[in-house]
Amino acid sequence: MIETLEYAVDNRELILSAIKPEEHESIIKRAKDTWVEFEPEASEERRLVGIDSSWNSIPYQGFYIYAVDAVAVLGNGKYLVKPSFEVGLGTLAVRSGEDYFSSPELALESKGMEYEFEQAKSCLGSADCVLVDGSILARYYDRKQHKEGSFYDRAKELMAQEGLLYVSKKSYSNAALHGTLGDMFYYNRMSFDPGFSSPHIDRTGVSVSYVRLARDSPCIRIEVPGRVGSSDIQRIMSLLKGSSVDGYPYVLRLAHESGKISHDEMLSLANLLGLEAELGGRQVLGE
Amino acid sequence: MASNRGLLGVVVGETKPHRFRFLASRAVSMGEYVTVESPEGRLLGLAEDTATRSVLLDKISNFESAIEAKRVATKNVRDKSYLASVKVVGTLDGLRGGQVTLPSLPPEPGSEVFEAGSDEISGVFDRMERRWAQVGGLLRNPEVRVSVDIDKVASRHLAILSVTGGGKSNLLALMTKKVAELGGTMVVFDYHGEYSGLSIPRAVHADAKINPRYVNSDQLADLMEVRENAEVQRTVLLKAFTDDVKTAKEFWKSLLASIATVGENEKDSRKAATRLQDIVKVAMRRMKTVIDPDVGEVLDQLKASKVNILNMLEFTERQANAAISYYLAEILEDRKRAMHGAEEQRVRFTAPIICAIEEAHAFIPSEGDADTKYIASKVAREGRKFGMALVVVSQRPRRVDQDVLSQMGSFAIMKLTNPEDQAHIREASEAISEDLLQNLPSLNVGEAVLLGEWVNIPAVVKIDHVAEKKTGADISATSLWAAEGKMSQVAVESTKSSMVLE
Ligand SMILES: Nc1ncnc2c1ncn2[C@@H]1O[C@H](COP(=O)(O)OP(=O)(O)OP(=O)(O)O)[C@@H](O)[C@H]1O
Ligand SMILES: [Mg+2]
Repeated sequence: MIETLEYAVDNRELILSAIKPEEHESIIKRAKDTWVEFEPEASEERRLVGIDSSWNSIPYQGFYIYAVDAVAVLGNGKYLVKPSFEVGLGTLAVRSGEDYFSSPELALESKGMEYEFEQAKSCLGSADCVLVDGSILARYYDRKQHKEGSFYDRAKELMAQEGLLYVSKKSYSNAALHGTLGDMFYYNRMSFDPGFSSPHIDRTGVSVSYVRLARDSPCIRIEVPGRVGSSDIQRIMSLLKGSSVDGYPYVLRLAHESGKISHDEMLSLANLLGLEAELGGRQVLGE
Repeated sequence: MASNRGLLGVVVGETKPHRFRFLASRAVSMGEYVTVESPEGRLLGLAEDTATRSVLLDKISNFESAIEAKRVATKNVRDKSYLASVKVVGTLDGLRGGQVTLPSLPPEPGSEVFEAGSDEISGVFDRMERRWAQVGGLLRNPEVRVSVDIDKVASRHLAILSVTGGGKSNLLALMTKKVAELGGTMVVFDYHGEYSGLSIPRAVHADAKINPRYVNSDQLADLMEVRENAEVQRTVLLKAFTDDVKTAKEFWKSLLASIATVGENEKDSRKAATRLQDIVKVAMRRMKTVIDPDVGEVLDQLKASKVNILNMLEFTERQANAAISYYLAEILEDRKRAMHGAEEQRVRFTAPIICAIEEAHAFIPSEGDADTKYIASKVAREGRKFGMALVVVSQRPRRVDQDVLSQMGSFAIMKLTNPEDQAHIREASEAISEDLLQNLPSLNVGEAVLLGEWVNIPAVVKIDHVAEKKTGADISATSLWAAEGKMSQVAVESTKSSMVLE
């Protein structure tokens, strides 16, 4: 570790040059050109539901035990539908072409998404707007590369749904501004006022906009199935405004808190299954 | 024996036989009593510390976000959490029978917690036997009366501590009332003269007076305000204060003459003797209400089976110190005689006596040697054997001698804000927990935590107000000024009208 720190001290400029300060100005300008200042008025109270999934696993010799949980939470803290979850034991392999390789992360994330889909579908119609944490596009392309399972049919199906939004706090996509860094980076720096970037339509037919709901709050990335225009984004902003804190929808914060599976909870789960005697991954690594 | 009262909360976290925490359905007040199921039957507990939290607002760091967070969080039933920390005071069945039985097993996490109903616990706090006297109601269940064991006060002492204006003197007045009702004997050293208006049956009011004939020369020097370090003057007094002087018909005259003689005989002392004569003359003139050679012995000024209020308003602190120590020493000697079976006529107090010292930080200070401190420590240590007890009252507990404080068997602790005061009390008594100490600043006037031997279990109480005690309330300067202004207005008017007449 110490050698990397030493290197970073000596080569600070070099490392930071990846940000390409020379292109910075021009991209910020491009970002400004697509930005629409808009101060949303909180609309009448709407029924929003936030969906998030979480997963965790403990490695054993030859298998993992894992848990996946997806929840749909209303602004009053209650579940709108029964949570979808799975607890199991396996190798967590993922197929890539003809090959299988073990990737608990990818495997569990996929499961998490399947359950999120399940939750989202059961919520549609019972809420004014269903907010799912994350980016469907990121997942879609990620899975496409790995040609993973049944995922995309599901994704496709949801992408076409109305009353559904994907919201992410972090995004690394540069599809809109084509900068060295993600679009989020530039939109967060070009202004501090509420507003949004005019929607960029992905080739899968999903519209993407970066949105700042309140002054000085960070941008969030919104994905809406289908081709939408500025007035739709404005409507969505008004919908979210009244129930957001620091520019982020409260129902998603709640969904995250409710679904979260901690390492301690995994340990209790293992304990419950009588697996505590097995060597855990940490012991294997000698930690 | 299930309760039909509403569920208040559920036990969470690690539990101990004497302590647990629970999450409640509403905010819980410090001082509330709760019951919880345990393997050994229902337990009674006292909420010593409580906290309310919002998960969302916990993470907020600026005003704008706080406004937004407040709006969304109020709709979320899970956002708020009410946590209370409870001290187990005993099994409910045991307490109802007057027995403190602490459980050996902790309540299990997940156990249900209920509000303690007034009917369930009144028998715990309000005892019928003669030695128990009611002093107030539970702060959070006012209909539950709380009584204290006066026998324990009379044998193991009591400390009443709070910030100034917290309600100490009111509680002391209440104690005098209760002792009077029981036909007991009490002496209150009333340094501020604030009990002079206390009109209760069996109270006798007297101005404290010291007969100089019965004190030693150092005490006399203190009474006359001879400076501590005026050694030559004090030596002259020692030599001049002979037995002849003490028994002389005209005490002061004889003392002055004796001092003059010492001055004449010893060259080096001449100046000091002259100075001392001046001091004596001042004392004769200005302190005749305090130092009186014609008053009877100390014990003659006090009455058995009465509450003796000794007014010391005229005393300086040094005089009061000398006087209190003198009274205490005489009373202790009397009680020793009584316990050793001396003949009736030589004993004033045949039954136990309680002595109350206000401003204890001045007379029983942790630093320095005061006359009273020496004798009070003795009483604190040995009084139990002789049926003599102290009630120590102070608004600066940290300045009260730790040895004396740690001998106090019982405590009434009222509002206290200074952490040093709290730490000092903590050292003196293990009866009070850290959680309770933390919450003392939130008590209001007249609210007290009663701990120690005079109560079966810790009680958080609103003390009864003693209407018979008239002085001691805060003075309203503004209204008195207004009244005075009106009076002088009237005076001016009447001069004017009389001028017109002339
Ligand atoms: N239990 C009570 N109920 C109602 N009023 C009370 C109670 N206790 C005290 N008070 C009022 O509060 C005021 C102050 O009370 P008190 O003189 O007893 O305080 P204290 O602690 O002795 O103050 P200090 O430190 O100045 O001696 C008085 O006006 C008194 O009447
Ligand atoms: Mg007082």
